[in-house]
Amino acid sequence: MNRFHSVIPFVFLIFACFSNLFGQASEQQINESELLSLLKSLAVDDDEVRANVITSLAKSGDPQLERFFELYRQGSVYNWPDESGKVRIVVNEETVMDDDFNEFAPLFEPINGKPFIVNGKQAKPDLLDLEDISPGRKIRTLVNSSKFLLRLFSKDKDVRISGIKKCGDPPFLPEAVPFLKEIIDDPSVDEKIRWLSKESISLIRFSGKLEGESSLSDRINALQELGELNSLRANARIKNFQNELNELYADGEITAGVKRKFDSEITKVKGVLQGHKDSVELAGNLFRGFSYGSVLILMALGLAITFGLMGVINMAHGELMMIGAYVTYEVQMYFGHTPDTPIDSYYFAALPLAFLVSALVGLVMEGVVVRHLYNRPLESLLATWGVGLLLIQLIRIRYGDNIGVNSPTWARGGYEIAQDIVLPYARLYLIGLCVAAVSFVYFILRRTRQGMLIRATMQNRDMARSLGVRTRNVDRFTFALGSGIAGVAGYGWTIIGGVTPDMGQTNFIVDSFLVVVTGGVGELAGVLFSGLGIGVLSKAIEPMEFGDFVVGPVWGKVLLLVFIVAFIQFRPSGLFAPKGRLADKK
Amino acid sequence: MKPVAQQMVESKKSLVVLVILGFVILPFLYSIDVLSIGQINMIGRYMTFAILALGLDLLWGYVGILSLCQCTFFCLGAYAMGMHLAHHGGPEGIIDANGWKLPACLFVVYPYDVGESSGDALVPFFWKPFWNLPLTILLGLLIPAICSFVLGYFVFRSRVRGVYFAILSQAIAVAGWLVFCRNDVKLCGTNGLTRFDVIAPAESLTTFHPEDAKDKWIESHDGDMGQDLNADGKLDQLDYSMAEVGFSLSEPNVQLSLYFLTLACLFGSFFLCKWIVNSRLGRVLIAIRDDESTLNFFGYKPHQYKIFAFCIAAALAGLAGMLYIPQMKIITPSNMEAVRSVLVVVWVAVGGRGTLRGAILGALTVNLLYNYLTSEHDYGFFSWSPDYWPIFLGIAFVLVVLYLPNGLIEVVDRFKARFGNNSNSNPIEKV
Amino acid sequence: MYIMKSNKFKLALTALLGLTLSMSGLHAVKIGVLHSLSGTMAISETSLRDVVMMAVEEINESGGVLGEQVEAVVVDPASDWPLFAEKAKQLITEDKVAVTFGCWTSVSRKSCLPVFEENNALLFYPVQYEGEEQSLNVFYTAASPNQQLVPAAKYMAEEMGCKKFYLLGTDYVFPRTANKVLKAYLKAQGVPDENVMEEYTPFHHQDYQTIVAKVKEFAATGDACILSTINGDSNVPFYKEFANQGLTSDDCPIMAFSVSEDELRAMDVPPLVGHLAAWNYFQSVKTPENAAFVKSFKKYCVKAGLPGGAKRVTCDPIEAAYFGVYVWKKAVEKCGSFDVDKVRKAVYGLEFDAPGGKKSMHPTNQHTLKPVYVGEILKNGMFKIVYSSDGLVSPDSYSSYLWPDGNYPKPTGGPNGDGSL
Repeated sequence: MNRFHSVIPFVFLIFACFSNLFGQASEQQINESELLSLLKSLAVDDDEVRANVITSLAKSGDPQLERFFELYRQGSVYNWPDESGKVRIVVNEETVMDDDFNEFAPLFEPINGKPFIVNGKQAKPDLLDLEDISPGRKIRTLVNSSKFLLRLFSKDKDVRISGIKKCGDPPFLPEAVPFLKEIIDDPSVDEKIRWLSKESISLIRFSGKLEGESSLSDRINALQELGELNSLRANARIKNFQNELNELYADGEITAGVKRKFDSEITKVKGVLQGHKDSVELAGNLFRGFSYGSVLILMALGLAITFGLMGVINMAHGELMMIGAYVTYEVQMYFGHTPDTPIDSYYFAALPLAFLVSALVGLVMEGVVVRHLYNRPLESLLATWGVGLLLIQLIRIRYGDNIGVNSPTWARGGYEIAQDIVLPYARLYLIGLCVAAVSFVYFILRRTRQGMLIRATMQNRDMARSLGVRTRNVDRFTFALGSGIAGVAGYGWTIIGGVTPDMGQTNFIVDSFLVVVTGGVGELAGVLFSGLGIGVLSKAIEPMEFGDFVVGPVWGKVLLLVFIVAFIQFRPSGLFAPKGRLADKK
Repeated sequence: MKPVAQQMVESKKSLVVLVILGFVILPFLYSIDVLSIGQINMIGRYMTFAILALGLDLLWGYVGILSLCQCTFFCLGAYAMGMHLAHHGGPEGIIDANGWKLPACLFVVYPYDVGESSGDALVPFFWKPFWNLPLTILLGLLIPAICSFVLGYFVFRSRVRGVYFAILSQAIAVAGWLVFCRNDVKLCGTNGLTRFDVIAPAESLTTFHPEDAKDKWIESHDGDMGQDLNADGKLDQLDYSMAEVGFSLSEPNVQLSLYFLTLACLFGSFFLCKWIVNSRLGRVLIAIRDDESTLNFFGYKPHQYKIFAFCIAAALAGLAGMLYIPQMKIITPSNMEAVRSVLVVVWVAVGGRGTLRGAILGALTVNLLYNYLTSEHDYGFFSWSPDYWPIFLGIAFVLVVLYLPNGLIEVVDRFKARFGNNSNSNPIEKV
Repeated sequence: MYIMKSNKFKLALTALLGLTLSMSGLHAVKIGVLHSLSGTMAISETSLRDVVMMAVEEINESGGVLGEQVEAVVVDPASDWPLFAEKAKQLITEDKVAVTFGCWTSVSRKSCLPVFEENNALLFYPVQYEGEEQSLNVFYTAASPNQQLVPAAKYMAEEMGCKKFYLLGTDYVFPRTANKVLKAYLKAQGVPDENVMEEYTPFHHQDYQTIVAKVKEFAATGDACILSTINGDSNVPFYKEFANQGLTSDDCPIMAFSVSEDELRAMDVPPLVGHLAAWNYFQSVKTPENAAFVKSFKKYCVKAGLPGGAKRVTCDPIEAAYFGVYVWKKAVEKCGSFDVDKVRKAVYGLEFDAPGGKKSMHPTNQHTLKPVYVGEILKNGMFKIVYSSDGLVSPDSYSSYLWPDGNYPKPTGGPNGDGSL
């Protein structure tokens, strides 16, 4: 085997590299050809050689190697004997298929990730021609930790942050401490990154893994630093430390007095951290409640118009939302938005379309079915349920199968508004969408002539008609408006949830009716208050614990339903009861 | 509601036809092998749905209360009977620390907490009353009735009505479904109750004393030490329950008997409902539907009547559930999904709301169609795919609501009025 | 009456073949296909119907079984559990099928199990499930818990160095039992109780904010992972929320037991990249047989005009459904008869070639010996296999972690109806 010939020179090379590494390692980059030959030795079937190579590579601080390490750990690095019999080291992660479904493995350069060019084009051999050189578990673990070390030097902020965090996580990377210190001392680096570096150093010291600073008092000091940093990651680890202390005490290695002193220190820090944790939790729960509430309001807003104003029990409301979601999917396909080629603008284009298409479907529904049933609310419930069934199955036959709406890239991740309080962008967008939709409906109903006509017709149809209002047109417009808003809700949903043909029945219909009924029929404000109320309440109930019993999502939902049923006992017409004549009609 | 429906006369003749069809013709067809026992069994199950529909029709057609949680009551009855059958079920399962047999369906899904182990599994206390058959039947009727009473008491007293009640009851149905899906309520989670074996073994008429179980078994075998039937190396109650005599649910004769029992119950329920709606009480119920406020002025307390009707409907649903289970041999929470209860409304609406015969007709028609149309059929010019079923149901339903508010029964009656004897078209109010 | 018709799915060949056969009076052996083609489960089950039809077509092209052509009788139980029993009854008593391939959910299998046992018929069940069952009338061609769950947990502990486990699932029987097995395993491995969390969500749960916040707190120690049995449409909001709250597979890797290539087609994949799944087969298994299988499946989907067409992928249940047909064929040929009792005996211990490599049937307990793989999710919705077991893993019908005394219950059903052979 030709690869064994090269072992001995490589070992020398490694030592040469080591000697270089004692200085400022991160600036000491090995040149590319040297790297390549080092990489080749990874294929050698000798763990010691591999380990040496990896350690030295890690210390080179070359950020491009991070990706290579990831691929090597994953088993995506291969030896490829080309036609001439020469063995090359190549990378392949994903395979491709030709039109006849034959599978090929497009090859990439191991270091810079560029396509591996042979004879002027990218090499795409059969996957079976590649020779697996994936390492055993011991080496994989080493590669993994080295990978995080390399991430400290990455140019990508997120990658760098994950590296820094990982250094302070078990099994800990004490060798990263000098690099972390460098980061802290570098004022040009982002504040958050420097803060995390501090936290990670303290966490390493707290773990007792840092040589020379592993005594108990050193660790307590580290804990105090972490307390000053308000580190939640430290908070989670105090318990392990206490267990350790108890064991030491039980083994007689520390005296009761020492233990007492440590315990009181720990309790102090714990108090501080717990306070921070409580406020984070409170803020988090509030935000989650608001964001869930805004989803509920969006869902119920259209219904507040069709049910609240017009008295039509539109059981196909959920299906109108589903149509909004499918319109979003179609727009995505039309724009060609995929994970590899993101075209985020599709998401903005989908908003008006989702509104219009759902409104159109609503218009047809009104014309064919609903208009016959304005005075028979219970029967409108049944007929629209039939329409819903029809819509679900039509969509199922047309799309058949699983479809995936890919969120726009900006909707990934979140904004850290204060330490440890992350507000996901997707949720923020939904809250914004909810505010916009409510303002839009409010504007139409209260500030336009059409809105005035709607209100007039809904309050006293005969009077309005006798004054020359074309009530048929008003009905059409109102129903279409409600349906369109439902479509917008479905559109917004795609950013946080999945899309299936029966999403309306399974997820939306019961909840949105409850919001409207709780809020009181006929008042927009009712929907706002009950939506937010139910949202905040359910997010407050869910994490509650009573002794051993954790409420959790299932019991939370059951409790919420029972609560609403009980609430309606006391306020049969909801929070904002319609007054006067309107009260009798419904 | 138009008075047409009330004016339709419950024809005695059509009833006779139904009795003959159910008790004579279908069994005859079975005896000459035109119908298989599977089909008889299927019709038996659909008749339990008809009982369920009768209850809803009483509530919706006569009192005007649209309840969207009837299947929850159905499942309460079905689970009661299910627990009973599971107690006396097949040989799988284990003996718990108290000597009770933990049925296989419960053992598999028994929810240990972190740190617990399989030895900690016990038959839950609320399973124990269902050992006894008469008690089970009583509870199967009472539990739905009591639940509906509690719900009705609060809801109707605070004058929640119409649409609000429909939506509230749907919320109840969802909550019930969520609870029954939970494994930690120890009702076997989504897999439901299954592995039933026999119905009405002798021991089901007694109370269970775990300490006696083994002695009894030995006694009943004349002191013979018996066989180790489940081959677990020891003689225990599992062997005892395997040896007991009962009616095996897989026997065709037992299935035929269950069919007759269901048919009898269907007629019983029909006459009960008929008696209620024809009595003075029934008049009040209809008055509530047509004008509740006016009735209030006359000094009636409508909520009491509403609660009564709600309880009767729930008990009928429970009865239907109890009859359904031994014929279906499995009950899962999917039977109480919100959609199922809407389907019951569909049956009644399609058959004819406000006529008791309509409810039965609707339940049987829709279900038989469902069974037929979920297979592929080729009619030469057109081939039917099961995919079309929801579309068919959706459109049919919209059409019925829009153009046939009195349901299929109206078509049947018009047909009879035109071609049959005219005495029945006499519009005397005789519901 | 229930013969698969060509017009909708354009399976012209099969139908034509069936038609000519019945016209020419040639004898054909019937097999039943019992998968939901409508309703909520259609999304998953239609693929299994397709792959079974493909296997039937292949078998017929190569001369059938014992010289007889195979005729597939397809019915649609419409995701309605009682209807499964109904349709199974039809297949067995009216169509007189020799064997049935079908079911996906445990509850659907449970609901038609009495039918198969009463009539002593045979069912091949192709989906990984919670175990705790051993009916002589069923052959389980997918994983039992010890072939999927336990190796995966082991992988997380040994390879990823995880010491804390968050068991998160949808509240139904598979996650419950799976977690029961996992808890027993972790306990046996000395993981303290406080390092194991368990949480369930209702079906179709969509709001994972609170749970992800809890996970974040749990994983703050840096050595936690999630073992996820979240089912179906809840996966999308879960992974999205997980990524949006700033968690990555480095902070807390997720090992999923119900996410396969087929499910990934319906998901926004970027938030999932780097997370893991454990199965007994991946489309990326590197064998020439598998390349051929994937190729012919895709070709079949294109030819038959199935939704998704060339984008269709293979996954674990698809492979299990496919080789189930071949196991039956091989057993029939081995015993020279279609008789259920003879076929059953012939299946025991049968060795066979599947797309994912050589496998064999257990000599007694109705399950299948399979390899175990752990895959990492790639951006294209495929898995990179990062772990494979040494050889085949023997299945447990009843988990040894739940029956520590080894005193397993007897099998059920069979020719005498009492679990004896």
